Amino acid sequence: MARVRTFAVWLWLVLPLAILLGAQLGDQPSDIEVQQSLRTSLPESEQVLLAYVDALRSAGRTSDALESAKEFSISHPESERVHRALLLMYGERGQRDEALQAFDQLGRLESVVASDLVGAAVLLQTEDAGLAETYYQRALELEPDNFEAHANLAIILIETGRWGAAREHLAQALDISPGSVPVLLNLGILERRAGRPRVAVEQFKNVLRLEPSNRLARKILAEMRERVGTEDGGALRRPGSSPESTIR
Amino acid sequence: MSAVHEQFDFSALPDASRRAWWLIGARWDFVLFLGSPLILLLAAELATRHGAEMVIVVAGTVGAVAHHFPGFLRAYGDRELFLRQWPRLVFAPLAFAILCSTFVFGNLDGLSFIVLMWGVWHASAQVYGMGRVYDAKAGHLLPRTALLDKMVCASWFALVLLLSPGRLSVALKELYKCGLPTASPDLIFALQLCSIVVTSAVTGAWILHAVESYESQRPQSITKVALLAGSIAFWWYANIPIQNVIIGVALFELLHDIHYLAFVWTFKHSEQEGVKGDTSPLGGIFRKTFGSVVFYIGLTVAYGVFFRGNEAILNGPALQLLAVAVLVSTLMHFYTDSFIWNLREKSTRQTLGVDDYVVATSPSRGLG
Repeated sequence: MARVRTFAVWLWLVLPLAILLGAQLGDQPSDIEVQQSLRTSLPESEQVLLAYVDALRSAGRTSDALESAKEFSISHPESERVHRALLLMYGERGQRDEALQAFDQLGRLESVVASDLVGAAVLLQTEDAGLAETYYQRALELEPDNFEAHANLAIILIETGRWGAAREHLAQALDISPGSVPVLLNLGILERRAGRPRVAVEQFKNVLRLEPSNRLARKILAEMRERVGTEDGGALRRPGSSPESTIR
Repeated sequence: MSAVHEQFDFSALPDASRRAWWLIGARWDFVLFLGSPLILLLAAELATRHGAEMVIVVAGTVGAVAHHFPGFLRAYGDRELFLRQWPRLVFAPLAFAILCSTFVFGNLDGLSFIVLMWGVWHASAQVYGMGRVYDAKAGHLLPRTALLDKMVCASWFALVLLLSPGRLSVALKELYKCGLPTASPDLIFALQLCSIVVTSAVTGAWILHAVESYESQRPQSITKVALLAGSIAFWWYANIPIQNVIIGVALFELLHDIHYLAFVWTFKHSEQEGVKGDTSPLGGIFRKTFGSVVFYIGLTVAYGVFFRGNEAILNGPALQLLAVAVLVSTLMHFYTDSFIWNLREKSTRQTLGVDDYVVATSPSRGLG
């Protein structure tokens, strides 16, 4: 009896392994194909959909990812995570209206979190700075240590000449992410606009210590050397933006 | 009344066996075996509210490997058991090492699916096995009860696996990675429906049998019923309401580990108590002192931390080698647990305080 049991245990192990090994003799499926199969088997699973969307995005197929997520959000309007994924993907593609629509859906579900507010605020910042400011402030109420909210809110505050508040938010952003080059740059621009050129020069030098090739810091420093005390005309930099892009 | 009922003279059970309902004692059995699902549930809710889910994940990840160690102490530290089972204890790790190396170094898929499925079976078998020990201690050893217990555990564990989107997607993903054809949603639904019907029928039969046992003055152990209900309910909680599969797996792993560590300590402690003047290193680990218990838990945790810690540090072939070691440890744990706690062995029965004649027809084979 014991031998029969031992044989059964080993057979239980070996037989499925043999089947699984045999199945691998053919072409190996790609990650997207595996996720696609899962999506077919479990069409109602939000988790599976999100993994599929991730796989599509990783493969550069953003349109397909958006299409799948959108389709799922229509059949599952209560799915918070899918609306959040849509907000992120539309935001990345600069499809502002669609992204804000996804944000509204999250609001309707009363499940807006700090990162959603920041995502929406970034999209609104150029056209409706007032609303963007409200969103950043709400995000900071929900998550006081949100780096992006501090850093981006500071930009709005600099643009509207509220130096003290801007300085405070940039300082908090630096507490969260010490050595952030965009924040140090904005600190320099803030100090220059606030009429403290020496402090501004120190900040730009800090930027160059961390990133010697930073062109914007070099340019503003050069300008400042030429016209000490004049308006910088410099562009404020949003954390995460490319070295070439600027936010006025 | 079944034929099996008539084979036993239950009135002849010694008083001691009627009294000895507990594995350790009422208080510790409540904390470690019966109440642990509730304690973990409260801990999980607290962790979720305070954003400390990572604590559960880390503890569960370490515990998943750590709890193999006490089982190996039993398998390889018990001379009598080793002499009896040496072919399995020597050749199985070699076979597993070859198997796992082939899969890991050959970048083959499929072994994860086997480990996943065997893991679910192993978890269900542990609950069943401990339940059988409680029933044996209460003098209730009808083969029909054992069969229904096993079916209830297996069917509920399988049902939750099929109904949990997280668990099911992980299992299907492993199959699809091997290139198996896609299962249609209709097939999945049919399997789920089938599982619901089978589990309902088995649970119904189990309840009817429990009522019948009670009415015929041969009640099943209430501690066993509490253990089965608590463990199955926790399996459900960890996999259905908890959407995050990693947290769910870690949570149930913690329950599994607490049960296992407590059971092995109790077993080895009882065993050592029977050996007068024991001076072996193992004897020291299982003494009923605070220091010994801490040392036992420390050794166990160190085993898990060694593997999990190195997983975070190593890379390349060294990491693959470590993956093989973890897989071999896991498979050996599953495999050895299927025979090292066998109630058919006289020494196991004696250590657990289960009377020989009562257990003579017990079909319980072990925890794994």
